[in-house]
Amino acid sequence: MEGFVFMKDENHGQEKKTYEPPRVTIISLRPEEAVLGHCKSMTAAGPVGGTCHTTGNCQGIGS
Amino acid sequence: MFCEAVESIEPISPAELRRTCLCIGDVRVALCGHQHTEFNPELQRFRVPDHRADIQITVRWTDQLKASPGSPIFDSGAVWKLFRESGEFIFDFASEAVGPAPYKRMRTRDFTSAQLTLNSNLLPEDAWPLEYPGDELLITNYLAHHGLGVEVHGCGLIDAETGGHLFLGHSGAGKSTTTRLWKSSRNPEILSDDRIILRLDSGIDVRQGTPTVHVGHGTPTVHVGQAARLSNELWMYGTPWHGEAAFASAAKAKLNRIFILQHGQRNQITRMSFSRAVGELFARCFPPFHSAAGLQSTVNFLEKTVRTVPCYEFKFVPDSSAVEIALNFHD
Repeated sequence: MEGFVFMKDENHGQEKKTYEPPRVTIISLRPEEAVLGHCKSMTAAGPVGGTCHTTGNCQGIGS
Repeated sequence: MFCEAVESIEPISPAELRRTCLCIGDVRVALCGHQHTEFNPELQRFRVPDHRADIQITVRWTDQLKASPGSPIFDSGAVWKLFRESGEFIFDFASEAVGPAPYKRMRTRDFTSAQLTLNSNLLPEDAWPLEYPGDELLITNYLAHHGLGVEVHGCGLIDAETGGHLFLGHSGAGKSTTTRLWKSSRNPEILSDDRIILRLDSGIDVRQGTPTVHVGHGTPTVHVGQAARLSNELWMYGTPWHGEAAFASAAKAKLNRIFILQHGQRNQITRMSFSRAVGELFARCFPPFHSAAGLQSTVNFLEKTVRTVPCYEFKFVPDSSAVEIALNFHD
């Protein structure tokens, strides 16, 4: 059939997917955890309490 | 001027030039101008012989350290505020418990070198200059600034049979519980029960886009004539910054997936969509909120991470069945 161009089946016979509208998902940030410097223990960072003087101790309670 | 009374800073003696070197998350940190002898056991595991440093830190003591003038560009709401001056980042660390003056100041231009000034009126002589949160701030900013990785809130472990496993979670999500469950049933090496560093291993210096010698994992390899790219290997690194279970290791492991923990009525693993996974990872990492470029770099890294390994929501019950479910899960 000269002069005709047949459309290719780009779905290869598969069923077309159902359209799903975009959805907004809210993911909560926890600033007191995401910003470094907040202590999870009852003491503060820095030269204040006994448990914060060495690396790691400040994150010593709870996870 | 943010820098206080330069003439009052004590000069460094030749004996003090000896460097303390650490390697955390494959970031090599060298500290000079301060001799520290008492390291806690967790930090001791990250000490390495003197080497070429990614971050060079010079420590000075002064008895005149006043609060920086002007408004900070970021206030952590905790012990530090960030200022900018002449292209430099200036972190002032202060606590109401010891007065308004900073007890420490950290100046850096690009996080490859930094000057730490310690207030001798407020800090004891044996103070560790990189005391939390200065250490994590420096390394997380270095990683973000150079697009090299991200620190996440999670527990990472290496199982002798099955390799690396990473469980991310906010406080209370079950990281310490998970650590204990695995420890009792599998006795894995725990990299940290609270803070893990993630890096994508390319073997190529992605900062420069030029061929480099890569010695990160195993045999050194010279890459010549390749464009900068990221391969599909995600690696996790232990940190000295542990949680309540106090596990810390300088080891590292390749990851094939990431679990995001949540307490549940029963064990259930659900694959996350790409976009949700990036969001959930972002909510459990430590990005530089003060920097738009740093935030973008962090999101870019997380996007590459999620393209590299799948992420799953893991609702679990706190018993050994959770370990078995994770071990036997195949998507």
